[in-house]
Amino acid sequence: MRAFKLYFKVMRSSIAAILTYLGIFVVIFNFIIQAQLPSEKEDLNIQEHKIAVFDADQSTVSKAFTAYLAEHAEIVELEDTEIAVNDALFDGDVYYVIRIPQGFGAQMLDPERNNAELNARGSIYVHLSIASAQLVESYNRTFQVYKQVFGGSIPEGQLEETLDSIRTDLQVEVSTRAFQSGDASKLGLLGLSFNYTFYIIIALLSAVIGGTLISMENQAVKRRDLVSGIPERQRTFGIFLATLLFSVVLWILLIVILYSWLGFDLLNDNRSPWLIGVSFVHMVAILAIVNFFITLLRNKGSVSFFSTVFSLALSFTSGVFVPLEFIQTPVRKLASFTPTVWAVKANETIVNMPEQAPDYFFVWQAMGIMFLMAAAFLCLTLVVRRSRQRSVA
Amino acid sequence: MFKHITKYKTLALVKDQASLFWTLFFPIVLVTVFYLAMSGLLSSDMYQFDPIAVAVVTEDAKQEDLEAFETFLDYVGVPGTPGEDDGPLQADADPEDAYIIYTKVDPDEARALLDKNQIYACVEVGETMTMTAKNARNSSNWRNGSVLHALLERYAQVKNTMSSIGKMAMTGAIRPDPDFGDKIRQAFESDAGLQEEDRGTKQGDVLIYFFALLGYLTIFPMSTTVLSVAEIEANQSPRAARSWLAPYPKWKRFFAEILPVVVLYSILNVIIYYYLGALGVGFGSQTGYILILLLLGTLTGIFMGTAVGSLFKGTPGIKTALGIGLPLAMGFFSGMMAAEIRKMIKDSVPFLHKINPVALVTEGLYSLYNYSTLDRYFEIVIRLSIFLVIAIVLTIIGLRRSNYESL
Repeated sequence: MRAFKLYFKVMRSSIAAILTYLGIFVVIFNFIIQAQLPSEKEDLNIQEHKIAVFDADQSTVSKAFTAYLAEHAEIVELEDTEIAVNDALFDGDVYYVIRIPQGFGAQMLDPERNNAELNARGSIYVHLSIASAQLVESYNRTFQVYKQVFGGSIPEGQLEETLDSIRTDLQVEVSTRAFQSGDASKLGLLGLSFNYTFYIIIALLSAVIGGTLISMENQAVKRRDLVSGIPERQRTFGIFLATLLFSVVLWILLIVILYSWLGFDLLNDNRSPWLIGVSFVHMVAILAIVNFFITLLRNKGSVSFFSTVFSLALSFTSGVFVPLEFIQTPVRKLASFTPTVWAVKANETIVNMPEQAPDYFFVWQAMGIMFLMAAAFLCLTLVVRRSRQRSVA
Repeated sequence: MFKHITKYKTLALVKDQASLFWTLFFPIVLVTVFYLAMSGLLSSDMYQFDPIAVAVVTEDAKQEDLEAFETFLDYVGVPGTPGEDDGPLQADADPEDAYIIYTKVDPDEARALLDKNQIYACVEVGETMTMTAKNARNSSNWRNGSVLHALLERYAQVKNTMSSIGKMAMTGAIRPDPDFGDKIRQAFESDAGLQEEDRGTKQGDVLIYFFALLGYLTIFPMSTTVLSVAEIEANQSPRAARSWLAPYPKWKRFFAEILPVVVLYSILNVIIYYYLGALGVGFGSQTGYILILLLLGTLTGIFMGTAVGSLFKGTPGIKTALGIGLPLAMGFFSGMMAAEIRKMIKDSVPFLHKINPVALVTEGLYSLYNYSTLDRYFEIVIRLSIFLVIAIVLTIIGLRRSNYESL
């Protein structure tokens, strides 16, 4: 147990660094989770239309059209400059910008035409542009229908009344309902949050365990231990046990923090233990991989670089930050040789598991693969350590 | 003396091969991995609209509603069949211009399809249309709700209009001629005359991840310089104690030490910029302005590191953690890991967004890419310069009043 105790003695000097790392990560993810907490209402969350309208026509028709848009969407007031419009579209303050040119009203009323020129700019979210365009199309078509009702042109005396009729016809209600309640959609957020903890676990284990392990593997420390009569096998076992204990404590701490944010009542959901199980197996697999690479690394100065590259690379290619469907297939295939992608996929499966006839086969499979990876890397680490021991001897 | 310190600091940097390797290796590997992971986003296909899979329940619908809704379905969608092994709904015909793929089922089956994620939503046809869907999270189709809701509204609006026209005809307010029905149908199918630009093709918005990555890499030198202050404080490192034997002002010593780091990281960031270009990530044609911004960002990162290093007298462990963690946090808040975070921070903590140097570099690159004028760029350059000056002043404050006797 001497190596076990020594590991924690060495680690004691890193406590401040561990807390600093943990603090930074926890603050970041707390912010994200709090911002995404679902509302208690049970209605379906639908992205609201946010439209900016620049009306150069200022006719009765264009004003009625703008009033209709205001009833069906949030009208955002914008300064009519390139920077203001681009910023608003980029930041999602507005999803659609409509420019009503001069002559719009006259063109709408023209018996020879069945539309009027309109210019629009959409944001990158094509879905929201389509939804906004539907609003515009609905208005134009209803307007054209009323024109036909009056034989092709709306009499001037009846324009106001007709515009009112159009607005009344367009006032409809479609009711929406969420398939899952607010509490149930919290589970989706829990799954997402577990994905974020994968990054924290990778970054912390590689940075903290790495630094301590390299100190322990310092030739002087190692020789002193061996001279004092501790067999190498016992020393290795002590170090592995210490890293495992530290990792488990860190993992438990993260899980407790996570549930304290989202509510411990989520533990009652029968999918929660599965998420915790996947997270645990992932932590063990990452620990084995980190142990292997740190055994190869030796240079303490390079640990922070290694930790940053390793954690970011693994997280970016495994769908922790970006949905897996955005990641190119060859990269996804390459990432399937790492445990994180399996953990992310397993979490997605758990969160989207049908309530009727759930099937956890894939989750078992993912956990099995992660365990095999852990075993493989543990064996590789032992081989490397044994070969080093021989070379020292 | 300045030249002497600069020369030997440069030699020390170059000859410390392990550190040099990681300094060069880290950004190259990070950029490569980032590119491999995110290059899928560069294809605008990711932002194209795919038809929404919907289950239609008509159990409570009246016959007239049913007929009207079927006509509407034919107009906006194509029928589909649930995929094998609980796969998503597959279109039976080419869904090229369709908004939805639909299947008509009973309520229980609709719930089962929704439960197994084979469809996005279930639509119940009745006096009032009802759509039921999962509150999807972290999914690329979470905006489907807006489109489906707008389509269903449109159906209800057409129904309303037809009913109004019917009433007008019944009351004698209008006298329909024989081809009235055809004219109305044509009017309902008329084109809105909408000229749209930028529907899902705004590369600048997709490139935000890469802008944030470059922003992060310009601030990353902080992780190196956060510890470099120890090298000029005689009570913190033996090398500094030895160098203090020479009577030379501390501030000059500091700048002589930092100059090689500035040069190294500036060159590195230029290499990264061209490397990204070689990978196919274009940042626009304003290379000169981009390089100035990157240099300014690099200087800011370097002096932020020295400011933290000189003001916080903690252990090297804490300083390293801050040096690594702060740029990461700033990158995160600028949208490097998820573009939505940037917006979230901008809305809820605008002050943090305004002073985040990674966000400033990110927005500077974005403005050069997207705007025809340089007004925003210069505004950002000024803000970043102010930040740089503050970092230098803080460094000087942290370093002052600790002079040591020299021989």
